[in-house]
Amino acid sequence: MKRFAPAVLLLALGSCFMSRSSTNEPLDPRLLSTLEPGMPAHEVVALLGAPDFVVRLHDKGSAYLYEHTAGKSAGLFLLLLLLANEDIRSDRVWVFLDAGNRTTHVARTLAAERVEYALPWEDLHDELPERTGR
Amino acid sequence: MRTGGGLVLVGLLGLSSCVSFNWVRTSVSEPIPDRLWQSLEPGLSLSECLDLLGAPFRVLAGPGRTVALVYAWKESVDWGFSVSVPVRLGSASYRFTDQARDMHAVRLVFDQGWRLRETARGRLDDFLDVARKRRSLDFSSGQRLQR
Repeated sequence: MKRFAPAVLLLALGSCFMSRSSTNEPLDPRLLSTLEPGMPAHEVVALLGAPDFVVRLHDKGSAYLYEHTAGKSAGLFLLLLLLANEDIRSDRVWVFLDAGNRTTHVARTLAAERVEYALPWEDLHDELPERTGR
Repeated sequence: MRTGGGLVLVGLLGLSSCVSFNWVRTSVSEPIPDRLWQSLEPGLSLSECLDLLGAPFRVLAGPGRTVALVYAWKESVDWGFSVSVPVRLGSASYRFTDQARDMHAVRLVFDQGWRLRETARGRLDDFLDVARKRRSLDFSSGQRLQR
């Protein structure tokens, strides 16, 4: 039986995989820190580019979404069994504008850099940093 | 006995190219901790809520000039199996997966003055479905559109 051990080990090693993916460019925290209430929409767009999503908020104005998503997967094929762990997190910024197209609120969450590879049985949400929107 | 063991191994290797059992853990975004959820009270301003929770997953225009912020995340373990066999014209495959597709979500509804009016917990699909239905109602109602 010991003679099969190296072969089994080699098969197991050969069936590991890791992959990563991303959507949109990462958001630059230095640029985001310059967003302030009162900034007109055209300056926001000049700074961050075209938003990924625009929501019209009745006659109160609108909200622009800027988003970058990153994902990492790691897994293992063991003959008939696939074990994998996939983690997806986003950098997300919402800029709220009033009816006059001036910034009223900015909300940001930068989590994409915390995306990680993990073993299939690992819980990635057990240790999270303090949430903050500024 | 030795030959039997070898045959089993070869059989398993052969099967592995067309049959697989899958066990996949998926994490999407980061959950809202209970401590923060419980600190949300009607009357909080939009700024206070954004400071507490960060950027929402979606912002939705609701009825009565309200605005909803939706935060969503997913933590799931999905399992299933797939079978793939060659046939004369190519290949056929079958996949069975027990997936908890819905994402967990919380929704914060703000009034016209950007004050928190109500909160709810549920599934993302439910909140987005409600928004879609309301939007379709708006489009089917001439009176509302003229407002």
